[in-house]
Amino acid sequence: MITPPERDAAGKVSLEDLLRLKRSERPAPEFWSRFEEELRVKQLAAIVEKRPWWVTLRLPQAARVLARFQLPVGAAAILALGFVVVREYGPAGGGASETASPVLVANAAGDSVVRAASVPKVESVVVSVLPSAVPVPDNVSTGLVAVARASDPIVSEVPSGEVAAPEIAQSGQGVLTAMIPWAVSHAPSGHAESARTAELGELPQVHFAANMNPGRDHSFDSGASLETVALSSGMVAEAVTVPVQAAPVSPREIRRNRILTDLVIADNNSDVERSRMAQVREVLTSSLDEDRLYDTVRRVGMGGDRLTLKF
Amino acid sequence: MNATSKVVAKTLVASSERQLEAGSDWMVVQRVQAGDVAAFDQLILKYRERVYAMVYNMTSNREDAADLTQDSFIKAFQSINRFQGQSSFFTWLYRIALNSALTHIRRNKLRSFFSFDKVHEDATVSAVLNQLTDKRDVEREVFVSELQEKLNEAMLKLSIPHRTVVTLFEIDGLSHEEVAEIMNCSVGTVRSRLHYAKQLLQAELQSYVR
Repeated sequence: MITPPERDAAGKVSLEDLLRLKRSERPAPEFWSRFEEELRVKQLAAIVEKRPWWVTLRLPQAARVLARFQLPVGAAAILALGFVVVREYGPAGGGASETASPVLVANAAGDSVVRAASVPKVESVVVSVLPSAVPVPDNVSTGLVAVARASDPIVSEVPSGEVAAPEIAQSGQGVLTAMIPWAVSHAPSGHAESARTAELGELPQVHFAANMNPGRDHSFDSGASLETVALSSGMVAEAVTVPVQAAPVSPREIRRNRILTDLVIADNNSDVERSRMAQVREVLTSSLDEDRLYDTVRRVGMGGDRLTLKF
Repeated sequence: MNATSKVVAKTLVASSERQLEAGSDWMVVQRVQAGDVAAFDQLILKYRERVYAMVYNMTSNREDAADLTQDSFIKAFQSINRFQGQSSFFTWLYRIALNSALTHIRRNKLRSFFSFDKVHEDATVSAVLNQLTDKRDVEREVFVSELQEKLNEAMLKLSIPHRTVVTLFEIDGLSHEEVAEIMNCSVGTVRSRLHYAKQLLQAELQSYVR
């Protein structure tokens, strides 16, 4: 190998001459034949249209593979679709955020109308008797008032937060006591009593269902002229309890009211109460059957050696 | 003034040989544009060695040079309809090849492999080599290989514009005007870059250059 320092000045050329050596670097003739072939291939590849990416996915082959598992895939798809449909369009559970639509409520005289604004779902209602002389202010809006008359199928609802007012709850208990004598025996004393009062204040909507549907069998006795008023905590008007007429007299009504009382009390969130409510419903069902049985028995009469049957 | 003369007039090259060449190229290009695709083969055969040499001297790798030359011809074929004869076809094709080579060099800045073509000794080259060494046969071949490597190393040490100027002017034999047209710069810039590049090469190859 020749190292540059070994050469003398005579062995040097100009830069242009040296660069001329670069010009003489040329490929062999066989190189150009290969070059030509490669160029043809590249030209054809450039002419051919490039396949779009979705063609390279091989969807027909994938569909053929899936066809083998047609039944399980179809079942899974139906299940998934059903799940989604039920989840998306099914009934909302709980309804905690449900809002009630505005209700127009009129009292007995029909001279005072209170508009209930759109309020949250009502969980409890206070029932008290409104004398016709007690005026209901028109400007009561936020803490709203619900007016209902047993004879009128109108439902009034009050936000649950306002039911906690003790006097209202007590008045509710009073009304319930007046309506259902057995409720007294269920009411505990002391602190438990106040809790009980709160419970009673949270009467379920079955009352309103009864009012809305007076023709139903389990409605309260329409003989009692009952007016209910729920007052808000900010309301000045005082809830007045009016003595109600005597309790139902017939054993049938007594039994029915007892069952309904249990049903009302049982309508709470605790599991114990729920199970009890289920029992009460069973009793109610069986009692209805018993009523029919009693009716049947009354049609049968015994007189001496005669047996009479009324149709 | 017909199209051929217009192309010739716009060609910056002053030599009559280049003017005739540009005129004939434009006629072939028009045939290709008219649908005579096979006519493009004439242009490939005419310019493939020159284009290849330019790309080879820029990359110092014959495989890369072959690929880039093929790509340059394909690009030229695909966009031949956009060629309006504003410049000579040769200049246009050179610019395509040069841009391909520059893109390749920039992409592979950190990866450079030498792959040389053989030096074909003609009378001029033999005279130069005789001046450089008095060795014969195997020792002479070794010397030529070493010199070739030194030359390419020195070329690769130049910046891309300087390497381009040296390649186009000194090796490919284009004029200053053609180089300026291909590189899209002024003739003065070409001269300046050429001067600076020669100084750098002289410093790199001082043991061979007087």
